[in-house]
Amino acid sequence: MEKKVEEKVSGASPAVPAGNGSAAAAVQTGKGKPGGKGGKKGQAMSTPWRMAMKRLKRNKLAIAGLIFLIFMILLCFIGPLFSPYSMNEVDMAAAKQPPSAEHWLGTDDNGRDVFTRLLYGGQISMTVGLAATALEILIGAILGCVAAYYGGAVDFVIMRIVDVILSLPTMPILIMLSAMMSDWKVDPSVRVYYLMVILASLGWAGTCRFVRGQVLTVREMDYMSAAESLGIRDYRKIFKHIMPNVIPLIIVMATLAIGDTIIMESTMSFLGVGVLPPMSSWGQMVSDGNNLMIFKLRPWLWMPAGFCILLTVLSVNLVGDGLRDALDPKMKR
Amino acid sequence: MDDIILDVQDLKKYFPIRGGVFQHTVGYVKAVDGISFQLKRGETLGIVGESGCGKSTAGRTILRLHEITGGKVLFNGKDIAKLSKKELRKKRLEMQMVFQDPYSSLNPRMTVGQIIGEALTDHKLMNKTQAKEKVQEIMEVCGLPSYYINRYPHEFSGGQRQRIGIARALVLDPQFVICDEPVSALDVSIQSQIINLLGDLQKERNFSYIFISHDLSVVEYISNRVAVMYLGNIVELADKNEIFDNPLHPYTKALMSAIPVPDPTRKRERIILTGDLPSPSNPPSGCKFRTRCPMACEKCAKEAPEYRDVGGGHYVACHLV
Repeated sequence: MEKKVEEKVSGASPAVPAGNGSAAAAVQTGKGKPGGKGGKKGQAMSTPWRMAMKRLKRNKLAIAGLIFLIFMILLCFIGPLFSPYSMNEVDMAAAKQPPSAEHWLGTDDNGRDVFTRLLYGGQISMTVGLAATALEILIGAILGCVAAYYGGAVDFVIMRIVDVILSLPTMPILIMLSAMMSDWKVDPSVRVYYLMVILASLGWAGTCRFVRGQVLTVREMDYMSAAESLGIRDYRKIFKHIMPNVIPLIIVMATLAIGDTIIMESTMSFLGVGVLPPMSSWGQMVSDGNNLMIFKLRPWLWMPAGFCILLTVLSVNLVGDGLRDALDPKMKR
Repeated sequence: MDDIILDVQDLKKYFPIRGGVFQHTVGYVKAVDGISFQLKRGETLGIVGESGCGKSTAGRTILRLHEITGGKVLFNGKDIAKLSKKELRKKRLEMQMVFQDPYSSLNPRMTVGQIIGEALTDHKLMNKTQAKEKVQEIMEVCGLPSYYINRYPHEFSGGQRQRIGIARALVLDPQFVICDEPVSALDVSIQSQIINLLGDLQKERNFSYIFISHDLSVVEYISNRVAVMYLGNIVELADKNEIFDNPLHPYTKALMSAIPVPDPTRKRERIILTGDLPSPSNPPSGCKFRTRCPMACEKCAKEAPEYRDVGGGHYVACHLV
């Protein structure tokens, strides 16, 4: 009976259900074999993390996204090792070729293999996305926790800084900073790292506000009062009570933010202010489509990169959505 | 008077209202505005009142979960309001609380064993093995099979969760426990189980309860004495039988007349109060109840009635008594 219901629901919309069903099932199996080792095994199956993984596994879209992401990462990071070409190998004799057995996606005006550049571009786009997001979440989460936990003047100062950063128009600032970097003749390979830092320092504010809100919510829960009335020490309250209840939400937020950051990097590279040649990135490759002749006659130069951005960000978002439903069933839309 | 373990004298808790651009204090919500009572060893004091009258705040303030604005809370002769953080942490072992909401009062990411035993190990009262034994013992006492020790709260029903909350409070062998509406979130059938559990535990261990509730029949069942609160003040406090049979304050009378009687032939005189609870940030002058009191006179608007003993430990705050 119960199984039927579960199947029905998960068939209709795999992202939503699971919560009640799995909890009930877990209790039932636990009750079925009480005491001794059987009981122990039963309970091991239903820690909050395991339950979340169970729910995630049931979400087919999220798993599809995850598989695609893993595939993409392997392809971009291991693929180039098997390529006979390198990212910047210029071969004027082989310029402007259409796709062929030697050059799967043809070659560009300088005779560089487009497929190889696509893979290296993916490396850079994904690394920038991941690193910038990691930095952003790190800054945002720490400042958010500090603001919420200490409150008062600390909170006031941090949140006003957040307000200022959130009211800065991101794009013009990024373009300005980029122009400054070009003026200082920063090496393109170093520039990628600056780009990560810049993206992170403009992006942490949203995370900070979110984390602060979550910590404030958890701090007001009755179990925090209970911990207080039991005389639990502060560090234990922070690390055993607040953190475990906030981290899942931070994970979800971080995952979704990776997609945004990849888009941001692509946009900047497209506009010619992000990753600069000879480094390659997906957004930069798409910008080749700005040339009308390339746009019309040689779509293999820019279309694959466009699809890579689309599918990667889509997968990231699917995984993020799946994680959100899995980690916090209450946050369902 | 050795058997008095808790002596609350003129306890006050004001919450500041912040407003304006710079969040300065523009006023106070007088949630608890000078309450006094004594709690004897092994007795249960019920506190009743409508929503927003400050009964939960009173409970939390006694435990100093809120900082105390004014007054004294003497616990075995020591003023809790004056303890340092370190001293307070030790004292907390002797006074505990059971919360209203069995869902938000248990950390969803800790096992039952961790929830109940956390204080034992955090205060270094015993090592892990001893703590585990103690936790299992108290779980059985509270009607939870001890093999549930590694389960998480989401695997339990509301009633079982409330038992976990009670076990958490009792594992430290406290001298008094504040029960903040411990049964109002539960089904009626589960309510009686939990109330009986609380009663049995008290008989076994001889500690005291402050039982906060808005359910008069529950309070009548479990309490020895009952205090009635209105807008941050205790308006009447007496023995259970005395207050239910012979209520003196008009507010208590109105409350008592609202208890349903399972007897269709008996006619009741129902006193229906009009109006809403006034704002605790701007209470009426004189007697706070006068705006809704059917017997209010001129004196009530001018002077606040004295909270006094009218004989036999029956305290009341009303000009007309």
